Amino acid sequence: MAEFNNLQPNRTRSRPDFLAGLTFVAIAVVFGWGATGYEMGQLIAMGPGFVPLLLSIMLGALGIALAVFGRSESVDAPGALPWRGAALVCVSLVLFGAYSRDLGLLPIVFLCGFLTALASPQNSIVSAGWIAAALSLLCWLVFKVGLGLSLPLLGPVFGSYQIY
Amino acid sequence: MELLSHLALGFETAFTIQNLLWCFVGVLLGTLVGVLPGIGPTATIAMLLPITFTFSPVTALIMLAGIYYGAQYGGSTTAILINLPGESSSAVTAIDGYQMARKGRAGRALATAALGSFFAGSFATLVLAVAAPPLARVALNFGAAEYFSLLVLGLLVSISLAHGSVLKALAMIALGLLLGTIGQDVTSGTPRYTMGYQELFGGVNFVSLAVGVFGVAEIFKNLQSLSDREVGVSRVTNLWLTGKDLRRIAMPVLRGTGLGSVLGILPGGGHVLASFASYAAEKRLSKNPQEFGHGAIEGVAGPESANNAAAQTSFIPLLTLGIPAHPVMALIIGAFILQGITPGPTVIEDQPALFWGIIVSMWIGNIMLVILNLPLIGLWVKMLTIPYRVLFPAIVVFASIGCYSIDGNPFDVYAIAVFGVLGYVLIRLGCEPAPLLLGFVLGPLLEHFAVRWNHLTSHKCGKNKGLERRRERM
Repeated sequence: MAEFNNLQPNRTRSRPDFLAGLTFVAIAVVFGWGATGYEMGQLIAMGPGFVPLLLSIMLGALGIALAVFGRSESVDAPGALPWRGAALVCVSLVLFGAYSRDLGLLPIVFLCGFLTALASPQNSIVSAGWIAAALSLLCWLVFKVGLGLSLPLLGPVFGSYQIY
Repeated sequence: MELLSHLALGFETAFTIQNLLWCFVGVLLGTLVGVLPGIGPTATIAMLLPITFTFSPVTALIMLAGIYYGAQYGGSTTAILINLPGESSSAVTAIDGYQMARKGRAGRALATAALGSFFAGSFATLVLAVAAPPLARVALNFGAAEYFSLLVLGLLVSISLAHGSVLKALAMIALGLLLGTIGQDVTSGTPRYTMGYQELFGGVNFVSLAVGVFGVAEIFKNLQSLSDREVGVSRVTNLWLTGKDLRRIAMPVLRGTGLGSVLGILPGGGHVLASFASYAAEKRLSKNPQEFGHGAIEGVAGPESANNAAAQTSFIPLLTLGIPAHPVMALIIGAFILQGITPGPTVIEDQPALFWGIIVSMWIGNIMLVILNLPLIGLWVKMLTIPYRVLFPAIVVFASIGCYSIDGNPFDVYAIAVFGVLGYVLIRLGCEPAPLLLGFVLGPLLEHFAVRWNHLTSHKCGKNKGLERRRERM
């Protein structure tokens, strides 16, 4: 269990303010570079690029200030990145967006609930399956019976078994 | 007497079966998400926003408002019982509330929180009813310059929402404003930062952004920190306050209510500020300040009253100016707009049934909350034992369904993932997402008022003749 315990101080150290500053500068550069592609106009008659460029410059300046003047002492890094969990959650969101219309509410909720549940290291395949099944039932009751969601219960993929 | 006839109208609106039912659903859900750590009212309201399309405007807003103030009640339960603030504003309650629970006085702490919240909520609702109409009349005279200045003030005060560095909060506001510029420019129609995606022409979907940074990013964070902790929920016994307790909490509740009512009006999340301010005040005024931090009942009564009063009065800037004081208020503005109502000073005059209906429903909702929170406390304690590993898949699935059902657009669901990752990176770097969301909502408004202000001044000064001539030619 120790690897999930956030209270244990991590040996690696980081300087979050410096990194945050750099991140903001990077974002500012991307947006600022994009803004130069639009018409600038002038203060009295601002073009579409005016506000974004102004904001990018502000963000960049704040980022530099943060990187330079931010807390310089390093702090304990907040533990390992939840790569697997984050990836599973993102994959299930993308699957939901892409296939919910074709698969229908029940299959897509089961699939996404299952994948998402696996994002937690405490869920086994079996418990994830139970969670997904319970979620499917709950979503059917809440969204289909209760709120009349427009998604089909079983989508067109199931051919003649399709249920609205 | 005008007030009485208005309140009568409010009662008429709020006391329909449908509105009472959805008010109950709202406060019930609010208590639930307030109790459960790892999901807050912001993510919940964002998820439910699309569902309220089908409701009438009054019903939709009564329910959404109920979730918000209900969460303030629920948050204190978690703070007291397991020292984990379910809501940011209950962080202060956890200090003394948890100590009281450890000393076997959990029941009294909960009763204090609920009664203080009820008194504060009812009083602040009255403040809202009395103060909002005259304020709205003043606001009717506001022009573009005044609105622009108010919005800037709102953004700057939102820095107080973030606990950490001012620079980070400012940068988050700027980032939010930048995200707000994505989409077609209002004046020229030029698509900005759309990368060719048709879906981005209307701008980034607000629900995707809110669910991403407040819901999914939180999940990423909790995946590593909220492991199956053995929740040591304190036993709740003896909910009755003694006469001595009542005497001790009377003044803190009154002071907390006053502080909360005033600070709640401030744009930028006065409720967190209010609970901190109340705690500091009680500690200073107390005859035995050494008790604070070790289970002082005043340290629960004051802040809890303050944050509930503030939750109610934070509707004032929203209903009188159309300016959100808090990310949740930003979402409620979204609900207004989806219902075809422009939030602002005209709402009170044009939609009296809506305005007074919401106010009366808040009072009804507060009564429901006391009943939900005191006699049914055992139920909420049970809820606390739901492990997070069961809870978060439900959050993700509900968010997907809610977001997808807005207009059946897969892009909106993909966007949740993108903003979830962005939000997590920012949280990891020590930046809180609340100022970002506020910047995102206020950004387009700011640009709109800036452009209008520009037009007005250029007309007034007779400057910029070239521009006008150009326009005449067109």
